[in-house]
Amino acid sequence: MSDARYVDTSLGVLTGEGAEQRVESEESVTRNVWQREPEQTAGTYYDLPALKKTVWKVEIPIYYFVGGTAGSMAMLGAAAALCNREGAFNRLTTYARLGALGGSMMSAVLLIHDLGRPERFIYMLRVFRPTSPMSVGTWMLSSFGACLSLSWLASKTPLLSAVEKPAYAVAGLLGLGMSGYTGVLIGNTAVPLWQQVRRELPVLFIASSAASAGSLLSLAPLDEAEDKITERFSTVAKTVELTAGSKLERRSRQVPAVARPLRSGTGGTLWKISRVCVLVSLAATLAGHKWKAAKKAGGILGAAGSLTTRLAIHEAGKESAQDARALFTQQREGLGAKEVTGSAAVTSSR
Amino acid sequence: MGHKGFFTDTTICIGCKACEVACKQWNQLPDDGLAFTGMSYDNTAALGASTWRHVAFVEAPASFTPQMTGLMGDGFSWLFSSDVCKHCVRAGCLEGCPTGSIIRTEFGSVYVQPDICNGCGYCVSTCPFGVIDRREDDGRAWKCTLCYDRLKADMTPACAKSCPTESIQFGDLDELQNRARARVQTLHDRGVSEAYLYGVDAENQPGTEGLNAFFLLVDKPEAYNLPPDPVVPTKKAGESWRNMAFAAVGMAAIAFGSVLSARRSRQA
Repeated sequence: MSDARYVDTSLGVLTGEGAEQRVESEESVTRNVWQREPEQTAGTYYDLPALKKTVWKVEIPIYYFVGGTAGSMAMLGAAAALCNREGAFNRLTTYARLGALGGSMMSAVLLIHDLGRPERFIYMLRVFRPTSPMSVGTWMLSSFGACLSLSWLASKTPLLSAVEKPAYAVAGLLGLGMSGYTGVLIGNTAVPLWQQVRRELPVLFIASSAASAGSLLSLAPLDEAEDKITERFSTVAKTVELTAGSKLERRSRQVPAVARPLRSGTGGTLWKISRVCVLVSLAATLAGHKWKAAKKAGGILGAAGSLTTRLAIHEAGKESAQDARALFTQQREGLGAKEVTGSAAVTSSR
Repeated sequence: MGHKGFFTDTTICIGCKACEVACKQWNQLPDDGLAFTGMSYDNTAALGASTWRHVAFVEAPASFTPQMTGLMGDGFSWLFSSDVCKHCVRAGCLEGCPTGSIIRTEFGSVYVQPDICNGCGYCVSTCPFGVIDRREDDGRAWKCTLCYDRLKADMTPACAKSCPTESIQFGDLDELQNRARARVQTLHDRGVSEAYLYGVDAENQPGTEGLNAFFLLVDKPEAYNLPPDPVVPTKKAGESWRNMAFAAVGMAAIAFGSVLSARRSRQA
């Protein structure tokens, strides 16, 4: 089986820049025969995408949810731990820390699994690159996990007990970053939809993470005061999420072609489901005063809504990257470089 | 000075694809399978992990001064352009790479180190031109290296070397820029008023601050599948980070607010 290079190694040496590329199947690229009239694809190059497909699989939006929730759990838990007079909030701080720790470990697994070369995951820590949200996030995730582990260990080891609260506090601070940096990450791409809503994405993701953290913690066996905390926290978070979501929708509609993946298709369906889930869970949480079952439903729907939000954004972005027309329209309407540099690129001799 | 690049003059490209072949052969890239696309003579369709030069063929029912075809009352033109990694002065792939695999070489080109890349795929989404891609078989991201190995041996990149019409011109960047501007003036004097430069410097393309591999085009960029106003995503990231900071402070305040209000009510 040839490696599609047709080089006889007894005659030639494979030292080219691309010689190391692993080839498992020769036909890696498939093409459909273009069968349209030139007028139908006018304004584009045979309607081919102008950007590359995003390579991330479903593990990544699941990570946005798991990592973000872990971050917000740590933040809420740290706040409770710092104000924990007479151990009133012991249960909340314990469950929050365990949830955050589990979430951070699961996050690492999800991220490493999605890499093209998972065995090289540690190379993420070769450099610290502030221009890259992914680099910043990787360092945050690592420190987050380290601080949480230290805090948990300190809670079990009398010798380290002085470190428990400070480590938890630092984890809480990092948790804020964990909840929102993924929004910055996808906003910092060339994908038309994500780039257009880059200001709203971090707010949506932080609110969504806080909502799911509050929702999941409300399912834990807590006492009355702690229940109040999770209820108030998730109520506000869900309200902010709904507001941020509608702001995001409005921003995407600045260029209708860019908004399309969020209004139709897989992305559109998931987005609508997520809005409904969050709204219903908000109502259920408020009704949880009177009905225990409503509180549980609110918790489950809150988490489901948060996960669905991330899946919706991910799917919509995937579709947006394949739409050359949306990209071109967005840039022609001044939302390319012109938005930040003041002048657009030269596109003709005039 | 010291910075090398490409000036691709698409008005003298003849669509022979010698550049595609030379690139594949020199870099020992695997073939991508034989395909028939029906897109004029373009069966490559796009750049990718294993295709670092791609010749675009644009057939348009529009007249183009230098091409008198005698077809459709001369309302027909056939344009060719050899697409390549632009080696942007502000490169989206480089600024997003978390492993430090993508670097700026001493020649000003953008180079992916394949022994470091772990295939996170971020560069694929941050490239405003859709150039770099991750090969699923291999796991890593690949793109044109501007023949870094040849440059280090003081040789011309394979594509420029093989181009029979010198449509792909290689050399010092400032010399190429001067040559290109003179060429545009010559074309305008000859009546080819459609000619213009794409990405020649920061003023011409502020979003990328100029391309080390720039083009002379005769139709709007979209016709060649090039974005009309590309921007390195990092230029827009400030607002994003700022909003994240505000939201983070807000959420922290809400967290403490919830905790303190519950504590007070517990004591009451």
